[in-house]
Amino acid sequence: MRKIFVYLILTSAASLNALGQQNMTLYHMTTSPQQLYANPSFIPDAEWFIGIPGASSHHYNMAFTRLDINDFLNAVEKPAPDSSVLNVSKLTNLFGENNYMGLQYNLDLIHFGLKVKNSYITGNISVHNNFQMNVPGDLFKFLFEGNGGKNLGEEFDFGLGIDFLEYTEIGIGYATRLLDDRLMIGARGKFIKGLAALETQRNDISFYTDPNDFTLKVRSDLRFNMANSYTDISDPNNNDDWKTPGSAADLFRTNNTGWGLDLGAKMKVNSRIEISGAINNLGWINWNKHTKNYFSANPGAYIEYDGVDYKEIFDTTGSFKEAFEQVGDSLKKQLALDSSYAGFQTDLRPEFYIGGTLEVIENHRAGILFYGSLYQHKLYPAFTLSWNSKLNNVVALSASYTLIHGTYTNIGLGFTLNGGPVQFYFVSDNLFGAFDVRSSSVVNFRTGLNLTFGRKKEVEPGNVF
Amino acid sequence: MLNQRNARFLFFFVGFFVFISAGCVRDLIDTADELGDIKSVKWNPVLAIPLVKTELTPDDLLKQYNIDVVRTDDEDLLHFIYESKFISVQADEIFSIPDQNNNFSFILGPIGATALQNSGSYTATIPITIDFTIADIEIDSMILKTCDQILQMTSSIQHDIAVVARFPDIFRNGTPYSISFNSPYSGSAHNVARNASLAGAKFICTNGPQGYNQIRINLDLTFTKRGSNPINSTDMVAFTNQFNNNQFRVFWGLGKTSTLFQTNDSIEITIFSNRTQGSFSVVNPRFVVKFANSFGAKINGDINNLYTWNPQIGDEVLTGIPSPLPIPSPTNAQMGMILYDSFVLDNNNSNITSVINNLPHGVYYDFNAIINPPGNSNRNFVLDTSRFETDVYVDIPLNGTASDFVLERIQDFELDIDSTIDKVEYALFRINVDNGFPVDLGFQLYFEKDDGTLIDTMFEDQLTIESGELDANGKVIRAVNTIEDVKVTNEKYERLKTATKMRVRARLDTRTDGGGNQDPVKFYSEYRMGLKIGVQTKLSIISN
Repeated sequence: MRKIFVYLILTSAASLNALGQQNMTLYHMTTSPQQLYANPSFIPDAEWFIGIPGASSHHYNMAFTRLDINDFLNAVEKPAPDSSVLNVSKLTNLFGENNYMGLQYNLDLIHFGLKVKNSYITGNISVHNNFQMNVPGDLFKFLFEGNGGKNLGEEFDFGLGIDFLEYTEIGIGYATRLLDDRLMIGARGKFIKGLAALETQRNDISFYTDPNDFTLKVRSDLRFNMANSYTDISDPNNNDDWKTPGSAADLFRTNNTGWGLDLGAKMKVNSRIEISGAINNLGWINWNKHTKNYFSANPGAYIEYDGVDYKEIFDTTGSFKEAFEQVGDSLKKQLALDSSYAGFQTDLRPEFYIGGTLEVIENHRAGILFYGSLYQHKLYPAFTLSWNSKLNNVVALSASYTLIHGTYTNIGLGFTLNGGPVQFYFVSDNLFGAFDVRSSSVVNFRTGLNLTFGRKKEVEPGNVF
Repeated sequence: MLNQRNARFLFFFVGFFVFISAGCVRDLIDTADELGDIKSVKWNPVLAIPLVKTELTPDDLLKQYNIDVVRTDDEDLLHFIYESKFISVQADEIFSIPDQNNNFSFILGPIGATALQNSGSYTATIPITIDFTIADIEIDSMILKTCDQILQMTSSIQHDIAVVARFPDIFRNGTPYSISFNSPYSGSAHNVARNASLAGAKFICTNGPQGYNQIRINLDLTFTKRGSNPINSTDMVAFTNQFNNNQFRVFWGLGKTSTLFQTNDSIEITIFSNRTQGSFSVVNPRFVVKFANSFGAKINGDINNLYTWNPQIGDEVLTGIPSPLPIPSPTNAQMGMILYDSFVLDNNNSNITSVINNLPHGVYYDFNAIINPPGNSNRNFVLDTSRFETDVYVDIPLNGTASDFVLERIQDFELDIDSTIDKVEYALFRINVDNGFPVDLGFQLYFEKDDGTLIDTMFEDQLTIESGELDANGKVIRAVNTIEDVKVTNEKYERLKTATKMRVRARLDTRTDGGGNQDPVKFYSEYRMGLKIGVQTKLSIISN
């Protein structure tokens, strides 16, 4: 067990690109129907529910590689007591090997569910926005320190990655109890209307300085795919490459479509222990309309620049300046981007959860959760320990501790408050994110209002969560 | 309602939240204070870029010292060639044929008058020889590329005249040339002129009594009586014959004695005149004089006072000049050809090796050449394009040894960079040389003021570049790599900015063996020196 724990810590520390749509605290928070987005096999304790349209779920998720502001402050020099100088060359430590920033905003337009005998049927219409950018630390290192000194002979990775995905999701879910209620399984099918996309398909740019003679070697292989359902970016006469929806109807008016599927299961091992798992966001979006691609004219071309030919200066161009300009033109040509209008496909960022709970005290459960997100064939994991307490039929509280994005200070909190059928909920995986600018790397919360009907009046041991 | 246990859990959750929030707000305030004090931004990147790459040939390197006289021989061995060339004017600027003007006449006489009176016509044939007047040239024959002839007849005789002028010594297209015309009497005196171009015609000038510079004319004059006009025995017909605009293509005969060259000349040997110190020895230097001649005439030439000069040693006589000089002349059968000959002063016939190894700065000499020297009676030919050329050069093969041999040049210098860069903390120049030359090289840059005051040097001692790897014959078989760093600090940079001149000093040394001997090495044209220079600079950029 200890080995597994150490492994989880290490893999989590490496998960710098791990912005998924993770619901680490929500996953074990059974009093909110939004738990269904984490695992479609979960069956809410209400006979039926409906989210307040447009207000049932606002899910914000901002994550970025942890920047230690102390590293920033260490770069501030004080030549005089009343003045400070920021030495940017000392800022390199501020950034890691990969520096990630991701922004997500998911909005439920419609969300409802109802119990039918031993099963539960749900439906939703949601809008997903997902932006992420990965800036290699080498880029900062190059800017702050230059390519000389200790960086001679080092191969810089300038592979900047930017991805953006916006789509409307129309989902239908079904969950049912089996094996005398000891097993619950569920699935949710999703029809996707793709709205806009920017995909970095290839971003291989390397830069090397030969320590013997400072020869510069550059290799480039880039490909970016773009699509926008709101404007025809494949029209060469259209200069408006990026446009946002003008009305709600625009969220559905698109020919770029796709499909998605969530699968989940939950099993009672005994009266105190439950285990569960889910695989979500299996699927894709085909972008065939209003597309544009930018790609390297000479993919993988290896360009070497070892100085201006001395003879060329004196025999041809007559000056260093002209010779350098000629070299610059040649490099630009080699690194130039071509464009096309081919279709492409993006996935929905598949993710999985594996978790379990242990009822420690009546109505108080400890939870454990392992999360993984797949992005560009890489696994980005996270790990959570949680505590979930249903204090009465009005208040339920959850607290969590999560390892994610290379940070270890993610303290989460969640609660639901029920007043009659009206339920207000709030859940966050990182409270520090909202308040602590010095060490925050994740700002994450989901909140909204539901109307729940037919909730169980009494808290029954062993069937609370 | 909450039971006691659940109330404790609620208290714990709320307390935990307040604790975290309070600490974070304090951090926010502290951070904001620290960031607010930042007045400027400093950036000290270390940038490394390649500046120059090149592959230098020996010729490229020597050009930097104004030594651009390198040639290769059949074995690709390099030679310094210091040369002076003399080219005579063309023959048609030395020899010319002036315009010719000849007058002659015929008187009818009593016999002619009687014959014309009685039979109504009379024909007379008159042989004439005319001179080609050309100073100092005896022409036996010639072909003219331009010649305009005018034959004019005047007469007061009051009867018709028919003229046939035959020129048996002038051939056009292989046929003797003639001209004819009629001049009927029209009531006034006869005055008739006929023009003709004799371009390309050949003139034979030896059939006159003089044996040269003369041609013959046979005139046939036919008089026909016109009515009862008077006939007088004193009636005369006068002729003027002109050959104008005469330019020869070739002439045979004997031209005048003419001076082609009479000059004092010198040849600078820059490899030595640019040297400031050191010794140099070559295996087989040569002094070569080449002649090229297309005159069919004899040319005599002589080289006198052949000396080298050297500021340290003074003048030294270069011995071995042959007499007479081997100047060739084409025979009649070789007309149109250029004949070559030469003589060489080398180890075998001259003191040139010892003289050259004294590193003279130049050679000087007197050179004279005349065509058709006095006393020469051999008939010959001259083409209009005939020339005489003399090529004099000192040939120093790059086959030898050099010891502490130093070359220098001075050039203007100015150093400044972008003023937005407040400070260059240092610039490190990385010099990467693949030396495929058979000599050790030492370089130094001296930065000076206009008056020669030394401000600084680029290298602490000098940049030493090791010779290429040699085989037993002194030929480079592999280049040797040398990497040298030169750090220019900010203080040095500031000093260099005050310099206005840069003196570039190169020192050459051939390898010395274990016994202290220097075996000769050979410089071949295939030798290359790869040179790359990159700079690594630490900048200090401050933005307020």
